[in-house]
Amino acid sequence: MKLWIWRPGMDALDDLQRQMSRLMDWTLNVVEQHFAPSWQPLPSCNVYETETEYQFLMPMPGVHVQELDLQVSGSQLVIKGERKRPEQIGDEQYRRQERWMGRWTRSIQLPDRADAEQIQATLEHGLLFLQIAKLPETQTRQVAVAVKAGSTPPALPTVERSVS
Amino acid sequence: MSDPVLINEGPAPETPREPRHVYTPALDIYETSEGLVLEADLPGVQANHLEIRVQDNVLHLYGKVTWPIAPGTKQLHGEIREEDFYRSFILSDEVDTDQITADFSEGVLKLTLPKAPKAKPRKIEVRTNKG
Repeated sequence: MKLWIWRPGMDALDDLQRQMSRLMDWTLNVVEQHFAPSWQPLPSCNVYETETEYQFLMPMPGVHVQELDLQVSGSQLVIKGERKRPEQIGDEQYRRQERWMGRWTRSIQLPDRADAEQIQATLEHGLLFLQIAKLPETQTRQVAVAVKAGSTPPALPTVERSVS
Repeated sequence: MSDPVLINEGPAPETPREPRHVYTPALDIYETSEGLVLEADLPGVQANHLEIRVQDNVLHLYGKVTWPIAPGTKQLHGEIREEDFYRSFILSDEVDTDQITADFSEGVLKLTLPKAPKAKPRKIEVRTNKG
């Protein structure tokens, strides 16, 4: 004979509702924390390498040269830009808004052999194309490092072994 | 800076000719007193590689993408692919398809879709019989 433990159904539903709402709160929280910073516009970037140079390609439609700022600090290339909405158009006139607008910054780590002194940038057809010359390949040197034994004996517990 | 863009009205669009992956371009549409203005991001498209066709009240946009990267160049990092743009819309009756104009600069297409005369607000005089 099967035995069933009787529980009032409403309690179970209440419990489910509480758990679901806790799950929803948690999910929203996670989404907000992780994705909110990436809502700002960020142009994509592809990186290529030829014999003589590195090439960076970034689409940035509608960005004008005067709204673009490129700086090299250390081995970081920092690209800042802005795209403005047409000023005379009010929010209520828009039926659809899919294009990213506003200020953005993207920092890119330059490859080791990139020569930061020789960067050529072209903005054409909504594409930013960077050509960065390569430094001559550094010769790999072999350096022998002399290792000296320390004067103080290591403070480790010594294990005595008896060889029979 | 902007290049003239030809708008063809005619036979079914042949492009994209071979089955290729295409990106859907991001676009904004806003309304002015004259009609609608559509702005689409088409980075990497040159004016002579842009096709805009209106057929049976459907507007087709097709832009062939050309990158300044030589074929076969070694890629170190990739976030996007050299793929063309395609998008189509059904135009409402209020758009005067004969009067559509296009402007293309810095990879942004601006299409002006004027309202057909009948769609413009018209003031109707009310006559009263006096006397």
